[in-house]
Amino acid sequence: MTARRDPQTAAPRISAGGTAEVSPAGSSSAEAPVCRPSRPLAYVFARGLAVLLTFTYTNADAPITALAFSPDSKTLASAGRRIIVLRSVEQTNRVTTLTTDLPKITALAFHPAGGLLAAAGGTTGVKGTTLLLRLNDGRELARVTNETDVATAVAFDPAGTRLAVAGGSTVRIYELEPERLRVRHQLTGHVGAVLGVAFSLDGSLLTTAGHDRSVKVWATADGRLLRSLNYHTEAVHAVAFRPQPAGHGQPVTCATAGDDRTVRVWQPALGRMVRIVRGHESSILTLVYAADGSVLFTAGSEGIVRQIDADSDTVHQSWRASDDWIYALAASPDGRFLATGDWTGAVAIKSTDWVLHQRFGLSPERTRP
Amino acid sequence: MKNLENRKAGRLAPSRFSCFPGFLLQSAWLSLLTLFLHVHLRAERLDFPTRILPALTKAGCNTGACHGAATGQGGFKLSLLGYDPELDHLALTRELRARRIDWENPAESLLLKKATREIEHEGGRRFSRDSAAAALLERWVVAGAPYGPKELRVVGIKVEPTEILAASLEETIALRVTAELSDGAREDVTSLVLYSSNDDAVADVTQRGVVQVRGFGSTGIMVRYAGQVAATLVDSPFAGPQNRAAFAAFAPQNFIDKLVLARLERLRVPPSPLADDATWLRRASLDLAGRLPTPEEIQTFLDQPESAEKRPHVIDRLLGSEEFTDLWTLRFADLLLLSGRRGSEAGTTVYHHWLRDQVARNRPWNEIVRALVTAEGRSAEVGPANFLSLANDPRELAEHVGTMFLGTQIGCARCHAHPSDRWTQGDYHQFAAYFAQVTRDDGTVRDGTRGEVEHPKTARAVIPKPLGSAAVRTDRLRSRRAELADWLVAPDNSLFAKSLVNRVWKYLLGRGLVEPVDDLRLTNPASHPALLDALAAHFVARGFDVRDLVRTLTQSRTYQLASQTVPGNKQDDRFHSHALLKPPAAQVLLDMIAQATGVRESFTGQTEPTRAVQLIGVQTPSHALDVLGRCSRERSCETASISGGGLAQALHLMNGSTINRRLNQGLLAGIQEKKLPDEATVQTLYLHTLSRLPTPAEASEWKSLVAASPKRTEALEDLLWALLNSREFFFNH
Repeated sequence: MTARRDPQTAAPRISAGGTAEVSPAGSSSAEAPVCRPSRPLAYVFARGLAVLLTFTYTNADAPITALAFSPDSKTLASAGRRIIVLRSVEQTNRVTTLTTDLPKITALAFHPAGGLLAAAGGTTGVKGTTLLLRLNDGRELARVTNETDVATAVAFDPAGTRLAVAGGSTVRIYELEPERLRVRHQLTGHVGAVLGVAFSLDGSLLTTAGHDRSVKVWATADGRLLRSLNYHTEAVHAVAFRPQPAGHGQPVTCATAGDDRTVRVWQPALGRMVRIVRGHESSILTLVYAADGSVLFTAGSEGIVRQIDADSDTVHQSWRASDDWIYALAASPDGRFLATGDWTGAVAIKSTDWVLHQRFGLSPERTRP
Repeated sequence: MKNLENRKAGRLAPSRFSCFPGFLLQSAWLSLLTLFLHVHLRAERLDFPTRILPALTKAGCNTGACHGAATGQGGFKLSLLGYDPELDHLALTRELRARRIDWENPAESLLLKKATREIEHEGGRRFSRDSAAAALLERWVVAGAPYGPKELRVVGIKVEPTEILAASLEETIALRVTAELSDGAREDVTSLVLYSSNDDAVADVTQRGVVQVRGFGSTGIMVRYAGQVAATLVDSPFAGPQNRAAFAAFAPQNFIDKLVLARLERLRVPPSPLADDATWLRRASLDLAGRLPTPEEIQTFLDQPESAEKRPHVIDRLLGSEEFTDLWTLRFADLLLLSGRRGSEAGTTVYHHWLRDQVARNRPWNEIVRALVTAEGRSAEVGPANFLSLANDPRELAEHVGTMFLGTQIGCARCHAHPSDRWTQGDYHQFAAYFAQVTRDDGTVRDGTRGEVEHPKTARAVIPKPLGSAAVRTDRLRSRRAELADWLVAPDNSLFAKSLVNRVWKYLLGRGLVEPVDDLRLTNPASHPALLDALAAHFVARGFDVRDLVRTLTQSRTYQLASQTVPGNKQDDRFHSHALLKPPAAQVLLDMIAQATGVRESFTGQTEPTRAVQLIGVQTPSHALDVLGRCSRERSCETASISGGGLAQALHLMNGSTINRRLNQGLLAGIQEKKLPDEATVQTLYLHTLSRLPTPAEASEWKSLVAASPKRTEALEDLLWALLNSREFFFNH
């Protein structure tokens, strides 16, 4: 199976794609030898081989387990294993790849100011690693490896000064310092793997979602556990705070979702469950709020994306986005796009009018029909 | 340059596609490799439900103590023993962002590293890295961890040999198990199945399918694979010289004896001789009428000359008695959990009278059951309608039907496939759906038009379907329960007949051909498989006639054997080489004490003299009955006494009022009034309690003890107390 292995590089490499369709790991498109006349034939062979591989091997691409839009909404980062693909939302063929040494990548987060990308992952059951990467040259600025299992979630605080990383049952809040991450708080309280983390918009709260069916609210200032919300009856996979403009006057709310097929909306400061949204027929693995906070999107093992009114439990619309499990959702900050990533390795970007904008695989050369 | 370096390093960077000649060569090479792998893997079959999941089951990954637990273990849940392959496949390949499979480096998959304990695993090492299981799982991951064709499943397994007669202890026999797949293929799965022995003391089995005989007797070896079960019967003949005379003396009276004798001969267990007349009369009276024979009956019977009709005549007399009706009403009431604490007093009374009437009229069992299952009307007026009030939940009602009328426990399948039977969740819920529309408004049982049973996995209503049958409901205008009754009591529904004959066998011979009697299943073979089949066929052929069945059983020589053992059959406790000691029901025991002492038991609310077996329901307060182990009818009492018996019962009989307050009344008072001589007194006491005359030694011993006692009354009370507390009195032997 060496045919399916990626380079075992220890450090991340960056490759930037302009119009070139493929960039080898560790080389830029400018360096890559391009034999244009052979491309159609090569492409036909590649497709033929891919079909054959797909016939024999059901998962030619790694599952897409992490998606994130850049703060300027121009780039979508996607990852599953080792490679992080940075793809221009507007220019389909503009692709940059970052190759890491993480066998699995489970979460991505852009720094609010752009320029930095955090990638969490590691080797399941062995080691968790989180990388802080500089985007313009792909340089690894910092690395933390301090878990016994893969790191499962990562989030920057809105001010961009702290980074929360979940691994195993522990969450650590790091201070961003030049060229390093310094542990500020270690949050222990979950009794199962933490699967989701999210900062409140003012950065004062961190909410975590766990396999232990609990949602916990922490004070970021001192790492205190403020509340444990135990209404979910199964593992909780996702958590997100509702974006609200300053001076909105509405209470801060966040939403959580999980295997119990419900979305629950909370006032984390009070520990009050505001709303429960039912109607999902299978596990919900991911959720995001639209940039304006008016709706939230959910997806999971049904392969269906649902758009839910943020102020009620009304499902505005739903559509099948995949024939398999959807692990990742990302909403662009400009409110124009929603991206999904699934088990088959497919990424789809839809515009707000729900027209399919792009669909491609994790492998940067594969733009899907 | 870097591209070149990558190639030298054997790395396959995407850029290779951009250089035509190199790409062509590599593509061709890869295509050939892929084709080879494709052909190889297809030939091997790596389908998840039929190949991979059984390997995990065999490794113990999905047992109740590990990931098959209701909440899983360590955040990883599999279905118990692999009853839900689709769910398990998703758990392995999809859950938690597909963390358990490493597509890039299959050997590094968490699944393998945990099972081989290369990393910490609470469940320990399930197999080694160089084992066949590890290699299989790795090949499966290499192949993309496929599920395989959705419709492919194992439809049956066959274990060979189907029965084993061991030549000696320590003999080893290799089993061979073949699986039949839904596509018609057959595969040898001997190394993949899960084996277990029903009785390790007789024979155990390795997980490679080798049976090792350990002791004498008979046991079933259960085989489980991909949701299918099968069993083979291991007979290990008893050692010792053949007691040919005992076999020669065993003259079969009917087909029962022939089949019992065949088993005894196969297992080299000699039968005991016939019980003497007094013992037999006591046994038959207790079994058929729930009372001791009177001294007059004993004397008359003993005085009759020997003839072929002597015992059958008594059987017919007892079968026609009111006491038979009382006793067997009690037995069926216990079986049906009549009243318990659920029913109203009026409902319980009318239900009891209805049941007694059925027994008195000897209504065929199939008709009784049909009437119960299809009953409609006010519970206070229509006796059988109370059966439907046993539970409001259709699932619970279905479980009762399964236990009572089919002798099978389906409760496990409510949440998962039965671990040792063939019932799936679908079977369970579809069976329960027959009762989904039963309403009980205002105490009136009827069929409504709404109500369905949902499958817990799909949350969709299921169509009613009989257990283990492919038949589906066709006539939607017909009552669901009527349709169920048709299937339930049909002559070809072997479980229905077997269930009752097995129970009646236990009532009369002390141990069911299948134990427990509510656990008929392929993997719990009968001690006498052919006999159970033959009895069920006989019962069906005779129109489900319970009295005829009782007559057939009691007329057999097997029923009439002595409880005393002969050399070679002392170890036997299940092949009926001799009569087994049977503890009577609490009501019968209390009646025996009352009858033996001549002092009736009085019950609250009963104006007429009432025997305990005649009580309606179980709500009549009686400390004695509670201590003696009266069935509360809250749940089945067929496996063990729930509320009484054991040490409490023994202490109560020795020290409690039930016996002690009766010692100086009734029988003894009459004896003293009549001023009977000591010898006659001892004889009378023996006849009233043990239903026999004392042996000369016993008579002499007691006579001298009574004569030597300064207080004759106390001596006689002691004698009566001793007789009532003897094992001979307590047990029906």
